[in-house]
Amino acid sequence: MLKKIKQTKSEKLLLIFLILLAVFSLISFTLIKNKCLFVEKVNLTKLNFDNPENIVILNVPCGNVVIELFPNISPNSVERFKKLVKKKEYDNVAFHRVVENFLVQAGDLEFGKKDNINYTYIGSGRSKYDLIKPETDKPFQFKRGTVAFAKSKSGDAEDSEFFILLADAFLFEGEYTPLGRVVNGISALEKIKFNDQSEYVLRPDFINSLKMFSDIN
Amino acid sequence: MKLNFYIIFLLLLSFVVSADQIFDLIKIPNLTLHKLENKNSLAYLKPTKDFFVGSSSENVSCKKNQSQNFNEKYLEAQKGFNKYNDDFFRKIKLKYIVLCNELEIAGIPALGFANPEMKTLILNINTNNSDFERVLHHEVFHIIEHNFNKYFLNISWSDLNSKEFKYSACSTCSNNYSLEKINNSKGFVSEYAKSTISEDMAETFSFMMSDNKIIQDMISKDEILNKKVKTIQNIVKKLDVKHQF
Repeated sequence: MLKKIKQTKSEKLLLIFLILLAVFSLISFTLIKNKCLFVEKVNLTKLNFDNPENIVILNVPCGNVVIELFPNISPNSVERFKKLVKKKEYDNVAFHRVVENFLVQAGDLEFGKKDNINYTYIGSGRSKYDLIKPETDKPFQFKRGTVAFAKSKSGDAEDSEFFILLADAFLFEGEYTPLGRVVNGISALEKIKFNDQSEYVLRPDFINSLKMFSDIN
Repeated sequence: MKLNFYIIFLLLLSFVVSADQIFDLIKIPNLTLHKLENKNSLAYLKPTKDFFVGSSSENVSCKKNQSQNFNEKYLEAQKGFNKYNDDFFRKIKLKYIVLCNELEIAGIPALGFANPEMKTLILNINTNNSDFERVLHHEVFHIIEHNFNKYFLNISWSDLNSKEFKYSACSTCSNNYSLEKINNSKGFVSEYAKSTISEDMAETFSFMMSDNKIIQDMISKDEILNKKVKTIQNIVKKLDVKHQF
C-alpha cells in the first residue's frame, strides 16, 4: 500500500511560484517578440484632409505613418517624391540607415530593394531619373517628424533617398530639402530596426508601401 | 553572398560609429553647438577637444578654448555679425562659426579661415579685440567672393592701383601681414591688403564694416581707395540692397 504523502506548505508555495514564473515568462516572451505591441495604430478610414493630394501614407512593420508634403516650400523635390510614390518605387525598400532616436533613412531604389538588397553598396544607389537640385533656401524648422531628401554623395544633388527625423535637428535647415512632416503615427518609426554599433543596418526593416492618400480611399 | 554578408557584419561590428551631426555637416570633428541664433540662423560651434582636418600639406588645426575667453569672444563675434541684415548670411551661404584657440593653416598661425563649401568660418579667439572684428568681416568677404564669383568677373581691381604697384604672388608670400591701418594709404588699407587682390578686397571690406568712419576719412584723402570702396559697395548692394556699411 502506498503511503500518501501530503505536500508541505513550502512545497505548495514553490509550485505556485513555478507556475507563475512559467506564465510570466510566456507572456513576456510574447510581448518582447512583438515590438509593435504598444504602437498606436492609425486608422486611415477615419482621417480627412483638406489637401489629400499632398498626403502620403507610409506603411512600415508597426503600422501607418501619415505624412503631409509641402510643395509650397520645395516644389521640385515634392514633385519628384510624389512621382516615385505614385510609381510605387519605394515599396519594399529598406530603412538602411537608422540612428536610434534621431532618424530613419530609406529610399535606395537600386541597392535597397527587398528582393535584391546589396549590403556593399546600399546608400549609394540611384533611381532611374536624373538627379535634382536641392531646394534649401526657404526658412524651415527641422523639428521631429520632418521628412527631407538626403543628399547624393556629391552633396549638391538629390535623387530618391529620404530621411525622417525622430528628434529636432535645427542645424539641418539650409542643408537638406524639406519634403514634409509626419502628422500621425511617428511612433511606428521609432520601432524601425537599428544597430547599436553602426548607422547602417544589416537585415533591415522595409517599407511595406508608400502611397498617396487619395489612392488608398 | 553569405560570405559577403558576414564580412560586412564583422566590419560594422569592428568600426563603432556614433552619429555626429556637426561632423556630418561640416566635416570638422570634436565640435559642439554653443548657440544657434534665431536672428540670422548662424550656428556658433566650439571644440570639445583639439581638432585637425585635411591632408598634411593643406590642413587646419585648432585647439579647445578656455571658457572665459570663449564667452568674451563669442559676444564679440555676435556683435560683429549682428551688423549684417538678418537674411544676409542665408543669402551668402554662411552658417557655421567655429570659435577656437591657436588656429593654424598648413602649419602657419592664422586669425581666421573661410571654408565656403562647408558654409563655415573658423575664427581664432586668441586675437585681440580690434583685430578680431576685422578678421570676422574679412573672412565674410572671402565667402562672398567665392559664392558670388559672377559679380567679380568684370572688375579690373588691379587697374585701380598705381601703375608701378604689383601684388605678391600669394597671401602668405609677403613679409608683412600687418592688419594695422596704413596712414599714408595710397589705395591700401593695411599692409596685408598689398598681398593679393583677394586680400586687398577683403581688407577694404573689413575696414568698411568694422569702422566706416575710418574708411570715410581715408577715402577723402585717397582717390584710389575711394574707387575701391565704391566697387565693394556696388558688389555688396547686388547681394543685399539694404546693406549698411
